[in-house]
Amino acid sequence: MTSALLFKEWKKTKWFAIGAFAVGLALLTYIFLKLGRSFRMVGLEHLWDVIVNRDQFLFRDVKYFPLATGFCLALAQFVPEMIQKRIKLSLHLPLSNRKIVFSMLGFGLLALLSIFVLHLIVILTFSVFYFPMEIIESMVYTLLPWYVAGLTAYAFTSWICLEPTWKRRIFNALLMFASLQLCFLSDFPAAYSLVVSAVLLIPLYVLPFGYFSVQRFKVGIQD
Amino acid sequence: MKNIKYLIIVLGTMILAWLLPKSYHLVTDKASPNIFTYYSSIDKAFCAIEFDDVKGHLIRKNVKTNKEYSEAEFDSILPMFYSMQLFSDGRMPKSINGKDINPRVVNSKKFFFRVKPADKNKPHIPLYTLFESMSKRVRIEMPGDVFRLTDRIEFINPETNEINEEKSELFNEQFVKKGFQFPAKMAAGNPSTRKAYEEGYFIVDNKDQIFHLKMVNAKPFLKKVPLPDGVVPNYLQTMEPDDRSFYAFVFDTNKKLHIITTNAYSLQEIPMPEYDVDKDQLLIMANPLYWNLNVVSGKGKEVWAINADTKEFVDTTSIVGVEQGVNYSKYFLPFSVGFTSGNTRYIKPIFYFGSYLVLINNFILALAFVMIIRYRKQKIQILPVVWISITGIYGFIASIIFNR
Repeated sequence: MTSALLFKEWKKTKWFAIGAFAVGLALLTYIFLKLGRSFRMVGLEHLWDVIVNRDQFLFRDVKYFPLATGFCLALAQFVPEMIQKRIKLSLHLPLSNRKIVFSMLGFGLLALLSIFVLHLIVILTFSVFYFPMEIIESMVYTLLPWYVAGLTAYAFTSWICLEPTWKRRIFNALLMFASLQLCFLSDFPAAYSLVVSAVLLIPLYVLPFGYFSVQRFKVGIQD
Repeated sequence: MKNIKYLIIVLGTMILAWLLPKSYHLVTDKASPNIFTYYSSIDKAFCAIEFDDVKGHLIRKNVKTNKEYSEAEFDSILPMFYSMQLFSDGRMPKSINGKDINPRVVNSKKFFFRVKPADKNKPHIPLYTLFESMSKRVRIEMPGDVFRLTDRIEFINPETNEINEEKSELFNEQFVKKGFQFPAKMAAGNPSTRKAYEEGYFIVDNKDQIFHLKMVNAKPFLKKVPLPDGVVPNYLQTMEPDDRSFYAFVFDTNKKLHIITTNAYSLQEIPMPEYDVDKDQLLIMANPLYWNLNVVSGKGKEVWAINADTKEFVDTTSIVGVEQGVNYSKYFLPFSVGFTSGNTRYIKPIFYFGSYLVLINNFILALAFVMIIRYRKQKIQILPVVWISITGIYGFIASIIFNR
């Protein structure tokens, strides 16, 4: 039953997931081409100097891609469920509601995580050829909060979609906008290095919120 | 289900504890006056430029006598600060305090040195560019490698991203020979080609010893700096003054400032106002006669003038920070959470606590919450009530919104 449920989620989101991965790859290709031009024009020594001594970050164009992906994946997955309250059908499956909701949310989170991990692998594979570990470490600390923002945006947007009342949706959205700011407080490279492990926990903290809204729906709270 | 509700309330509370005080400060914060203050070698007193609220314009005055000056008079009163103007107008005295004054002397002894807490407290990539100190070229040129300090010194070629083993070994021999204890705690240098000369790096080793590293004719130069007893370096910044009288500023763990002089690396203490490198800003405006040391802290600005040659204390003045008024927020906001600060480039949670009187406010809010719950005909839960008693207005708002 669970695999059928996951297949349903895959059917709903596959084109979006493939599209998001492809758009991400296109974005990275553009960044790599831009960097390749810089390597040829000014040389790697100058580029290292700019990164180390002038606190420049080369992958700044990636900043809002994970956020947009997380937001859109949640819409692609949960808006169809909420149209004409189709989620009722899912909740009538012979599985516990907890299992149904967490399977759906877990699927989305894993799909998103897969896209992000593949992107990071591409970035790191490129970087190890041209940069030393010190620069790569700083790069990872700078990129991670942006990717975590994508996962957090997914968890919050799912919660907002699954919420049965518009009034509470507005409060949920306000909480989402405020919380997402936590991942964009500074553009300074590696600014999050002291708190990166705490930042990684944010999406896991927010993910169960969707189940809370489903329970509200189950007890009959609606507009 | 209940647990998730509490997770939402806790998150809502923390977000409010961050954004509500931030909004309060956005509306109420006032700028501290950063009045320009400089010690006059003519008046032998501090002079200042400040905005006169009554007259509605800037006034230039002697802080001690309150005598006001016109712009041209003020140039003459502060000949060291306005030296360019006075040399250009031909108004610069031939000597001041018995010291010959000419453009060469002024330019070689005049400098500005600024340190902000965020200069020290920021993430940095531990790779360093070591230029050739005796390149025989007018301009400093990029060396073609950078070095790292791990359990040894390693030079890496950026074009190939590979370690230059030969050069690394050559330099490492010197580190071992001179008793350098890896790993290094910090390295201070100025990796810029836009400077008059190169003096390399001052590196603090694992035993708090300071070493001077240079590259001279492609060979390593490493010298241990003799530190007086009790001086443990906390932070270093190098400088290349035109008169080549010193190499670097050393801030020690006793909150004292020293310079490493070019006279056999001897340390000279610089008398200065109370200063915390992690919280306060320091600006040194030096000239051939006096050094002006400005320390800007939460209390305001304190300025000391010291003799440029002997480094003896001469005079002081202070400007009290603007009165922020009564901070009412501490009576209704039990605490606040911040993630950014002007003192650091790192993101990290910082908690500020309000007055204990806020507990009365919290208690009233907890009672109000109980009444609202009863009005809504909901079952009273003890946890949100306890939460509001601790977190006050933040917990109250979050519980009212997300309790159902």
